[in-house]
Amino acid sequence: MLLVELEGRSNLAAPFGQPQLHYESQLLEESGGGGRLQALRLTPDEALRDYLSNSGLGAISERLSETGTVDVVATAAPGIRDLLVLGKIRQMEEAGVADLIVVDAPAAGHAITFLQSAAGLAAAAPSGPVRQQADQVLAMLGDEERCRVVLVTIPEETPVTEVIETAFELEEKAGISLGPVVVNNRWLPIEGLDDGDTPPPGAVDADDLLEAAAQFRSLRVAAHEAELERLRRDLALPLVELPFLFTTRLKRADLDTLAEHFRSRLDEGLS
Amino acid sequence: MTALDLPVLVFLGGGGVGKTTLAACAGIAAAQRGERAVVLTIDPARRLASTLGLDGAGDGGPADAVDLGNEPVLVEGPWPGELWAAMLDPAATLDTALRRHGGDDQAERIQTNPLFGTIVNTLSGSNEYLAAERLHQLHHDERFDRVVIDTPPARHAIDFLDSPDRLSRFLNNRLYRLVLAPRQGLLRPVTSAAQLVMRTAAKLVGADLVENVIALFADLDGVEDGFRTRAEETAELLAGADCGYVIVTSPRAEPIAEATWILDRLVGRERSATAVVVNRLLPFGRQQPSAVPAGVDYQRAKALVANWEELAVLSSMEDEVVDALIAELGDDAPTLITVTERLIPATSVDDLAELATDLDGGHDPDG
Repeated sequence: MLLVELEGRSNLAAPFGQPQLHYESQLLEESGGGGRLQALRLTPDEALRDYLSNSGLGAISERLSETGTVDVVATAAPGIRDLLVLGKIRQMEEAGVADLIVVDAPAAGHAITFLQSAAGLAAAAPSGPVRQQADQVLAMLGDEERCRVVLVTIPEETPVTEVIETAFELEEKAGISLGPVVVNNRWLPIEGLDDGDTPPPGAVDADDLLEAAAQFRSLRVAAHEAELERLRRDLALPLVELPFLFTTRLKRADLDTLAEHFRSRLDEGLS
Repeated sequence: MTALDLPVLVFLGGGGVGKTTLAACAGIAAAQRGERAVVLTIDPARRLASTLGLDGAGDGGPADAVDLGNEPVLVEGPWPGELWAAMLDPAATLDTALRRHGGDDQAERIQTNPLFGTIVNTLSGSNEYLAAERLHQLHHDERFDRVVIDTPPARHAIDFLDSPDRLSRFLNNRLYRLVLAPRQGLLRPVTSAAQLVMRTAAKLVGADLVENVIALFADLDGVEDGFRTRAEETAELLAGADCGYVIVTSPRAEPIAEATWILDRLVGRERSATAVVVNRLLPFGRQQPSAVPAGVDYQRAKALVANWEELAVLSSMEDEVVDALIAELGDDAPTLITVTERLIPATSVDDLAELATDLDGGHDPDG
């Protein structure tokens, strides 16, 4: 399995005790069963260099950057950068570099423009290498057997609204199939904490820290439950709920905890 | 609020740290002081409307929905000043700019060019420049004393900062001039240098696309002077003393790493952050709770303690994250402001007004 980091700062390698990722894929971990977790970081500049050398234009790539050709083309048709990145992912998928490629894509607002870059450029370029590249990417994005988008959110008002809008926009505009929606950071209740009704804010003496903390948790658990309810109502997609972990820095063991939740949800069959 | 007392405030930060909420708060804080503030969001994800209750999700239902767009909308609230909200409409901003620089005929001709439509409507990258252009317009709009701008997550926010320079570079590029120059002559002789460049570009991206680009360049002929001047003015505004940068983060490893990444990028551009806001701190760190009161049954007492331990440990870890950030920022540090998490998330303008009080409480490293 291959993890692809796009923006270069999410630091996927850190919990594995490894330095920053590079364009060349590196092995993060090997499981006893022969599973291999690889990861790499993909940037538009590196994808362009790759594209040029694969098109037999490696020799001119230096001159192109010197004259600023790349800069001009990328400014005139900004989606080229996104398309290069998607094109590289498509190439790795076709080459079968891994059984599964997981891409950490841009955040909501830009995810849509990112995924639409191929359609936009296909419209702008009637023929030629860019059109060819765009068509190949569109074929991958539109085929639910090859590619799905997994939306990730947290159970708070604005992120939930955003993920609902993004889901509809991706299906309608970009024609991409959606997988399950992951709801991360859900606060779980503590058994026996809620003795029925949560007192409203102001009703608890702020100096009584134990009660103040209990109220804080109860209100948050209830707010998260309400947002989950809204997701279940407004999206016809299976949800994968992951618990909030009480830490400021995810460690390797925390990833196991989350993976375990993920797997048990998948084992249930994602209804 | 000395640190945030600037005519233009740009809010930067990673995703999910509450940037939009705090940008709205900064606008409210200004309105509370009697100023006329406008909050502009360039985030395509409509967060500002929902934060300010303009999305029709509030008590009044969808009837209250306001279509937040380029033209600022007045937000009602209990303050002596004015709060306005706007969301970047890239197409409208560009239309205004084209008409100003090129006149109506040329603006319409450019906008019917198929490549142009694609660039503006579908592709990422062009919105950042238009946001800078809109910021410039609002800054010079006499209706407003202060402009607060809420940006998309980190990487694109940096694109926003660079966009005026990038456009200037583009318009000044030798290649652009070479390609365009032959079109300006009566006989349109194509120079050999231009031919070479175009042949290379055609190999790279395809001849059709290059032809479309050249046709667009030709349509744009004449407006680029206006754009060049405006891009330079906007770059000056973003680099000048009128413009402050507020970096928003939350007390977790990843958002803090994004915040320091942005700080480095600002330093690399010879700009400095005005303030760093650590948002959403839990309020339970470094405190000792009283004993469980008598009369609480065992099950609940156990739950109370278990809950306290989880929250207090996390809260203390968060405080340590803040301490580490203060140490890392060093002596020339921007003002550090901490905002504690409220019992109930802000869902109304009144909640935001309450939250805005935290923005006034920054402690300056100098005193």
